[in-house]
Amino acid sequence: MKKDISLRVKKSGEGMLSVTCGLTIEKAEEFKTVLLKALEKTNKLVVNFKRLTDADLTCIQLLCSANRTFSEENKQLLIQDKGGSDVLDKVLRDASFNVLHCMSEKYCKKCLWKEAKQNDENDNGSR
Amino acid sequence: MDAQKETFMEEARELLVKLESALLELEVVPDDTDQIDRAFRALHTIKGSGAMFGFDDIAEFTHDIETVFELLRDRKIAVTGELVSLSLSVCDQIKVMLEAYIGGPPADKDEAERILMSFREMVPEQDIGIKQPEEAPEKLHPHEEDESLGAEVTYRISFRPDRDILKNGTNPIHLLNELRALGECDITAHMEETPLLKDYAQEACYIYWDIVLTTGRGLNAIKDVFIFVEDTSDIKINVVDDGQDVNVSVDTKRLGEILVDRGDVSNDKLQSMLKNQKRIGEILVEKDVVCGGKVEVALAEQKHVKRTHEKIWRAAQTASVRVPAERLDELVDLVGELVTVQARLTQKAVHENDPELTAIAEDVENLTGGLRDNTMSVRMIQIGITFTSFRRLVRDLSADLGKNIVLKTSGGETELDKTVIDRLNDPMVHIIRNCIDHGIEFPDVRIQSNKPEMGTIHLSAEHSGAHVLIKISDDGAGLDPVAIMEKAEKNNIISKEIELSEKEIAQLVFAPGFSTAKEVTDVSGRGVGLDVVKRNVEALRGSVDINSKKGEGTTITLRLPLTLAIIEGFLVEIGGDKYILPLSSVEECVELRKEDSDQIGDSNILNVRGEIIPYVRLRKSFESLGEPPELEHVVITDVNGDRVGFVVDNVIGSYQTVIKSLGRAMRQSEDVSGATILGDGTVALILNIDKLVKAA
Repeated sequence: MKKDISLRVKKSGEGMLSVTCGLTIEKAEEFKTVLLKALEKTNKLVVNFKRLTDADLTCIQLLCSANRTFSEENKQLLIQDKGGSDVLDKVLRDASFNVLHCMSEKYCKKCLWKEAKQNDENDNGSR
Repeated sequence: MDAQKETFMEEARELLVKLESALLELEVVPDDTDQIDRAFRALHTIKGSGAMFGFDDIAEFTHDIETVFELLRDRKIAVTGELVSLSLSVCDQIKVMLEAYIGGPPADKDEAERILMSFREMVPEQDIGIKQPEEAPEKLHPHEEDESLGAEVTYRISFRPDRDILKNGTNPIHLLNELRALGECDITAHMEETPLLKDYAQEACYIYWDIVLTTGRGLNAIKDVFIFVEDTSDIKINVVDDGQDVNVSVDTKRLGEILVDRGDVSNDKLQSMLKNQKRIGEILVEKDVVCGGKVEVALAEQKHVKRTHEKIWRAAQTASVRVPAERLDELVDLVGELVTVQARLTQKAVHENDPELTAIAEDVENLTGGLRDNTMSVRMIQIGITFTSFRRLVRDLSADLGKNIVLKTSGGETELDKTVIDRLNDPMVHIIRNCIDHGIEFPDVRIQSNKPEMGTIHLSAEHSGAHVLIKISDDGAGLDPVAIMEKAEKNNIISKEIELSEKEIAQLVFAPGFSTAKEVTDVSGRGVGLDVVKRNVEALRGSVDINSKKGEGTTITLRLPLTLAIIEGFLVEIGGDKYILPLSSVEECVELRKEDSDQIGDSNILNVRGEIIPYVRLRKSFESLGEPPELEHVVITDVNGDRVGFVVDNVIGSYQTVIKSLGRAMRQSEDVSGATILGDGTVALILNIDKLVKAA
């Protein structure tokens, strides 16, 4: 049976995490466990949220926590097709997760969201 | 009195009307929080602005009353009939205090103290001293309306939710959305407390927010958002900017720009120097005095306040302007003169037959027309405000008389010239007093007559051509034709032999000195009322009509012109003189040949396509000399619903008529209601067709 939070690890050590369910407080424990597993088994993790069905604050917090942890271990965490999930975009917007004012940059080598925001802005600028 | 004080007095009067209206609503629906807010805001503004402009007695008097309304808002006490009555007496007291500043009798200090004592008694013991008198009541801007408590204030809010907030089922995002609904909001999320994965508690809330919010809804509204989390979360709310001192230096040049402008420094040089210049935020971060994020949040706050100031500043540029009515009157007079001059120009252009002059005259005509319409529209105000002011009258008088009466209104949005509305107040008060005193029966009588115990007075306004019809109806006893006839005969208003229709009998109540009330009361006077009402309405070029059915009620209809300044007229000629008929009454014109006229003789009746139409010979009315032309014209008009013709020598056509009042010598003449100056400088009289028909 296919899991709705599934982790695949390539031989190169790159992991691919696909989420096909909602990431709310009820799923937080499971999501954290998978992220810890990915931290252990991969040196680069790409998360695909294209089929994310729901999200809340715990989802953003967990991803920030994971990004900070990956950064500390000199590993990379990336979100595939940033801005591709309306569900994630909405919760980021509602929580006013204004990446330009994020104070956590000194903990994270690379902000998960900043790139997404800048990409969006560049896209808008070119239109 | 200086202009600012006058502005305060004007605003205070308007606020008192709003306060009174809110109180009367609260009497019906005591838990209507919107009305409690309205009343509170009105009191708050009167107090604040009063203190600002030196009306200290009013500010002081209002202070304790505002405290009681604050308790109402906080639901610490409830609205009662006693509180409403007492608050209405506050309105009266403030009115007297205001009038005292412009020469009215001084306010009764004992009465003020009595009111204050009664209010203080309403404050529960635990809330005494809840709001100590402030050293100086808050100052508000003179231009603020009653919503001014809602003057835009910018708050800095720090919201650190309890770690367990998510576990307890509260979603902080909903609270953020509620704040967004209050006004313009800039929210910054802080994530720096988010731990590493191994230490992460999956149900904990690590995120917290800094919020800059600009809202006119007040501090209480913000506190309400956090009402269920305030005990467990860390919430700080501070005012960053009260919006009072808007400083937008949009046009102020910076030093570098001025130096470049003056040619003292080249732009390239300036730019290269600026590139090397470090901003204070950067310096502070570099020196590790503050982290970059904090600087970003402070910058966001600065940007928010600047944006808000710009918004207020822009709004101020386009907001409404309060102008004294006299200046508007002057403007209307000047526009009237311009219309007259424009008519002269048009006539000259026609006479000269010069295409260039004709084109200019047409342009001036169009522009004058636009200016005229615009100026007249500025003077138009809704009658609803006047209607609202009568609610208090109905409430108090019906209570005094022991009657249950409700006032209903419709068409309050109908607009009339300010002068008409100002001069309409007294006649309407008189009519409403009559309805309450003589029209609507006592509750026991109504029950016996199978009527609802509660009587109804209905005020309505509607457009009817160039006129507005104001109807004052009651569902009371109606007029008694037999009693009216008896009284009219007794007072020698009519003789016994005269036979009158029911409608004509009803009209007798407008005769001077007429009254059918068996007892003279303080409420509706001594039978000198309705004739004065009629005279006042006619002085406004209006008319009064009455319809009544015994046992069912009475309706008095006031027919008033939209404006007293400029009307569309219909210019005619009689014996070489020009006259104006109101164009709105003109229905059609037909020719009258001499042979037809001779055949009709003195019957003064005309057959128009099978319809019999009575007519008035204006030559006869104005005793014009000379023989009438072979071909006369009959202008058929609508006079109070009847078609009546006026025979004139010539029909000239429609004419923009600037109404001028008649001199003392002509003022007694009822056949004319005014005069106007024509393009050639001659004077044309404006006919009062209603009176002409009656005189004929």
